Amino acid sequence: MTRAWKTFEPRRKAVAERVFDALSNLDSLTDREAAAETASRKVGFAELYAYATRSDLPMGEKLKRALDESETLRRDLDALLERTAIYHFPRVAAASAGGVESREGEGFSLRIRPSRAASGQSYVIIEMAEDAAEAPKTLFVCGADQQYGKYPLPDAQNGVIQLLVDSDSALVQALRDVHTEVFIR
Amino acid sequence: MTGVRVYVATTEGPSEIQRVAEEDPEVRSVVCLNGTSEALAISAAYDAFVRKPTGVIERLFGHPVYRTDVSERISEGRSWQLPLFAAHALFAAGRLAGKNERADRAVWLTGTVDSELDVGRVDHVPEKLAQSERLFGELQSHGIPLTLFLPRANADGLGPADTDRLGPNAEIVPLETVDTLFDRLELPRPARPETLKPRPEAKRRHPVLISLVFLLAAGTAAGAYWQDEVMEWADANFPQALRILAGTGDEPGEGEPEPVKPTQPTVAPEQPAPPVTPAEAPVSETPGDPPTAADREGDPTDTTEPPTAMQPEPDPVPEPAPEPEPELSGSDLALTIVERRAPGARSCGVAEFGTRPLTETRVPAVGGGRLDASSAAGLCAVQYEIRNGFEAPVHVWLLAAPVGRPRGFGSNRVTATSLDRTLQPGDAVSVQLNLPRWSREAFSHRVIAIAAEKDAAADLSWVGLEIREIETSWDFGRWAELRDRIEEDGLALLSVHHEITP
Repeated sequence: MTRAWKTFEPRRKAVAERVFDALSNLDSLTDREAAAETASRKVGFAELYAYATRSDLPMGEKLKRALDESETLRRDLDALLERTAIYHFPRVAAASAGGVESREGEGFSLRIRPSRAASGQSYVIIEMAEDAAEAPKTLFVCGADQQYGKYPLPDAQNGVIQLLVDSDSALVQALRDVHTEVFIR
Repeated sequence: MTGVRVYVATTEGPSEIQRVAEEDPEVRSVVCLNGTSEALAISAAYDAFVRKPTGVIERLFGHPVYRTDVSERISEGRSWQLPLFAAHALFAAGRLAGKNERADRAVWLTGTVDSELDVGRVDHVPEKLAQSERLFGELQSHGIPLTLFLPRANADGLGPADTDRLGPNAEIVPLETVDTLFDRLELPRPARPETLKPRPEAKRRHPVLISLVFLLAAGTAAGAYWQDEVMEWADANFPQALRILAGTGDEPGEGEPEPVKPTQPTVAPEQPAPPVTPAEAPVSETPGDPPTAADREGDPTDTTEPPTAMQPEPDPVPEPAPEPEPELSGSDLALTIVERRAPGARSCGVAEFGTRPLTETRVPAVGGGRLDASSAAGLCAVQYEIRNGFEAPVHVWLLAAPVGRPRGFGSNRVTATSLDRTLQPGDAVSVQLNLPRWSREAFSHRVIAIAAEKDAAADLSWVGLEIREIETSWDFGRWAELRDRIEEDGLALLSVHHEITP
């Protein structure tokens, strides 16, 4: 049975008001505890966006853990990278068995050259077309294992960006993997 | 012959050249730190110093790409050119003492080397000497003779306080060209670069015109960058978004987008003009003839036509500038946030009973545009108010929406709200978002105001459709498209995030 609020006497209204207030406060308290438990695991969009767009921001432990745990978050990051990238090298066609030494795209090419002078080191060379709108500042790799790598890029010289890295580094391994997607931004 | 150890003089102390090695011609020359894969910042300039046509190393020693390892970092500047030049000369002769190799002579150098192989003066030589005092002592104790090669202009300026740092085993050799370096190191002198045709005197261009062109180019570049980045950046930097979009963001601060970065400076020794073959030689070299495009600064890509008139035309009389029309901009939209809270420590539900009104706190988002986060404690609703600060009536479309996926269920779900009004000068309009009662985490609202002058007010429903689609699909990449269209239509835009924290 329900009764219209307006039929309540002032004293009853005051009682109902206090009861409702107490229940609401109880809800708030329990919610706060639950929120405290999950806060450490939560990564906001702003954090994800900052990682995708700021070249100087490495991946923190919190973000890494969150990406490991959440497929949704990984999907969001992939979408962000794809949206904000200057260029996106997709996975190499399956017919390309073994490692890849170069990737070609519209206006961009990426290749790996072993150093002749220092065994165990390789150059990663990104070449841009002359009419490229802007020079990229960051290289992202996303492997088949859903592990992300982010590498700041030096300034381009005459349309060429060159990185010198160890040949067994995670970057070279990722770039040689046909399943790796590469974003430059 | 014995090995010679080469030291690069720096203000942080000497850096030993450990190795010079020929590298794959497909890559660029690099200077690396101590055999690691860390390429130093001078690598790009070193590549230009090596590679033809700008570089001298390839011209003298034949190979276009090298890798050089040094023991300590070398920062910006060009004073590393002379020591690296000496290292290449010694390497070509097979006499460069590498890391851990025995050396019975040491050279310490600083100076620039230009395309004519002249040695130029550098700064901070006394500091470099002071920072190398320990090295000088070690070489002295090992009985290794030391030669310091300096630009003559620097050597002439040294006083006793500087030279007293050197032991009796050291001598200073002033250089004007690298010839003396070859002589003193008893190195075979490679054939000097071919004598080049002197470059024609560069045509003097009007400095004001050059400045204007430069400013125009810089402005265009900055504008393009701005247009492309501002909305994306605003998403991540909501406190600053209002200030920038309101047109008051002159001073960049932490977390703001980087300005358009100039390309890394490269060494630019004078570029020789290409050799002129008889077939390419200009037919007429009459002194009065205007130079061809290719003559000017030796740049074959310079296709600009020289001025045809010999006498400058008189400057046109400038017309008086018309009175500027006031233009509607984002700064004419004044945003105020009204926080509506339950009275005392009571819940928002109390207010729903209607017996106690919510308390209101007005937080103007002006004066630099800082938009502080609101505390969710006791916060029942947030009202976003836009006031017309323009001198004429404007048509305003105002949206407030939760960012991200919909939160809550049923009546607890926060939904976007918008309206579309014409505002007289000074009038205000607002939309309100009621907060979810059970919020477990921080969340934020996006507030967007788009305005057009009343006379130009068009159908803005497409804006609402676009924004709703973006919000519901979480497709932030479409912001750029929407922003472009808003700008193309000449509308004023204000966009801001408002975060609410538990």
